[in-house]
Amino acid sequence: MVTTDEKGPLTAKKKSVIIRSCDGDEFLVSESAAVLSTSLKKILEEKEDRLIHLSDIDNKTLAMVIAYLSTHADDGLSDDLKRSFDQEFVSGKEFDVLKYLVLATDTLQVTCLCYTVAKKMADIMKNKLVEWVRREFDIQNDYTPEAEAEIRRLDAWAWDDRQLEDD
Amino acid sequence: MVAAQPRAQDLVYIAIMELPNDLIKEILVRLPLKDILSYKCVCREWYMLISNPNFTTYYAQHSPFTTIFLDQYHFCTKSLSLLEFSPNGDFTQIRIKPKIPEFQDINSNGVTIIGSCDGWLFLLYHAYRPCYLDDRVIDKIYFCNPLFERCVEIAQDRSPWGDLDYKVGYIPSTNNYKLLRILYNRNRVEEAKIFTIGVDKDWRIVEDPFTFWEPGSDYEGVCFNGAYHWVTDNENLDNICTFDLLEEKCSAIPNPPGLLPFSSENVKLTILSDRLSVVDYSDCSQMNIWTMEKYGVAESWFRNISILESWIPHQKHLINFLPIAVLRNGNLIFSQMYPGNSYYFSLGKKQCTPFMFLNVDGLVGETMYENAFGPRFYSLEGIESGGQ
Repeated sequence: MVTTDEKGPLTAKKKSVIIRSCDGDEFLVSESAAVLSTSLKKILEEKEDRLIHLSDIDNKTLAMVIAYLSTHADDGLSDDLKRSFDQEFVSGKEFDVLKYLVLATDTLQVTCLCYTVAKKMADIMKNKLVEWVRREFDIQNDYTPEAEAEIRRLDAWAWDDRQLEDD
Repeated sequence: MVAAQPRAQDLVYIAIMELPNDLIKEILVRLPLKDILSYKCVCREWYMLISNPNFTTYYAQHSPFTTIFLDQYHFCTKSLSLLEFSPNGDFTQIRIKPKIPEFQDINSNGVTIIGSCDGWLFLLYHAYRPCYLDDRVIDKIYFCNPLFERCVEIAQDRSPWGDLDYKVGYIPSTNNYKLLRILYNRNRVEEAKIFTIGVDKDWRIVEDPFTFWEPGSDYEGVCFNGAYHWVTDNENLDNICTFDLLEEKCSAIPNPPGLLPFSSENVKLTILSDRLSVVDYSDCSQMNIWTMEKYGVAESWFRNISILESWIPHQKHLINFLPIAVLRNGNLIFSQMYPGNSYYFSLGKKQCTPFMFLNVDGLVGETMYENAFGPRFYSLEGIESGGQ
C-alpha cells in the first residue's frame, strides 16, 4: 500500500500516462489529471502499465474528458475559474454529444463532470414533447395508446397549460 | 468497460448506444416536477424508473429545486399550489386540485389543511350533518399526494365540542404515519387521541397527560425524526418538549446553549436542510438561527445564520418571519405572518424580498399555510396498508 506521505513526491514528479481511445488515437495525460477519474486511478494503482486503452470512448469524447480533467487538475486555477470553465465546457454542445460525454463520465467515473453534463442535458430537456425525448434517446414507445392516455389522465395537471417544444 | 489491453473488436466504433438507467436517473432528477411526471409517458421503463421509491429518495438529494406547499385564501376562495424554486429564487407556481370524493371543489370552505409531511398532504373536512340526525360534526381526514389528484379517506371521528388541534407525523423507523388529535378545554389539554394510518381501526386515547403542551399559533411546533417538538412556556422547563410518536410518550431534548428565557414568545422551531432548528427572537435587532447538527446531541447545536432587522423590509418585524426552507445555494425562504406572505432571502445581498403569488382568481391572496415539501413520485399505495 502506498501511504499518503509517499504519494506526495510521486505526483510532484508529474508522471504521465497514455490513454488510447477506441478509434486508436493516443492522448498524453498527466497522472494528476488521470487520477481524477476513479476508474483510471484504480488501473494505475493496480498496474505499472502507462498505456490505458478505453474500448468504448471515441476520440472526440475522450479529448473533451481529458480537457476537463487537465483543467481540474491544475492547482493554479481557482475554484471560481474551474466553475466557469465547467459552464463554458457544456454550453452550446449538442444533445447527442452530451449523451456520449455522460456515458464516458460513467465509464471513467468522473462524478462531478457527470453531474455537470446531466444538469446541462436536463436544461435542454425542459418543457419538451414526449416525442422529442423518445427521438433524442432513441426509445421506442412501448405503450398501447390506451395505456398512454391513462397515464396522462392520472397526472392531468402535469399536462396543463404547457407550451411544449419540439426542437 | 475500461480495458488495459487493446483488443481487435474494440477498434470498431459503436454508433448506437443506450444510456443506462443510472444515467437517465441523473438527468431526470434535475428536471422540474412537470417534466418528470410527463416523461413517465416516454416508455414503460421510464415509468418504472420514476415510480420507484428510490427515485424519490434520489430526487430529494440531487434535485436543484426546492418545493414549498402553499395554501392561499382570498374572499372565501382557497387555492392550493406547489412552488418550485430554482436556487436563484425564480419559481414556478403549480396549482393542485386534490379531489375529495364527497366534495367537488376543494377550494370552497369546509376543507382545511392539517399539514404536509414527507410528500403527503393531510386534509380535514368538517361534514356538518343535519341537526335532527346528530348535533355533532363528523371530521373526516384525507390524505393525498399533491402530484396526483386522488384523495383517500384515512380516518373519521365525531368531534366533541371544544378546540381541536390535529398534528401529523412520520416515524422513519417503522415507516408509519400517525395522527394526533388534541382537545383543549380552557387552554388545557383535556384529551389526546392517536391514530396510526393504515393500522388502527379507531382512535386510541393517549395515556400521556401532555402536561407541557400549550395550544398556540400555527408555528407552535414541528414533526421531525419520529417525534413532535414544541416549546413550552412552563418556567420549570428549559428544554424542547417532544412527543415520541412511536412510544407515544412525552419527553424532551436539549435546547441550544445560553438561550434564556427559552419560551414560545421568543423561540420558534423549524426544519432546515433536514435538521431541527431553533429561531431565537429574544434580541429584537437580530434573529439567530440555531441548528442541531446531530439530532438529540446537545453539543451539536451551532449558531447557523443571523439575520439583522435592517435586512428585512421597513416596518416589518423579525418576530413574524420564520425560515421554512433552504435553497440549494444556501439562500432562504421565509414565511411571514400578519399578513401571510413569503420572502426570498439572499445571503449574499443580505436582502429579503417578498414574493407575489396569485391565487385562482389571479389576485394576490394571503398565505394561510406554507411548508417545505418533498415531492414523491409514487402514488398512495403503501401508506394505506400501514407503510408495508
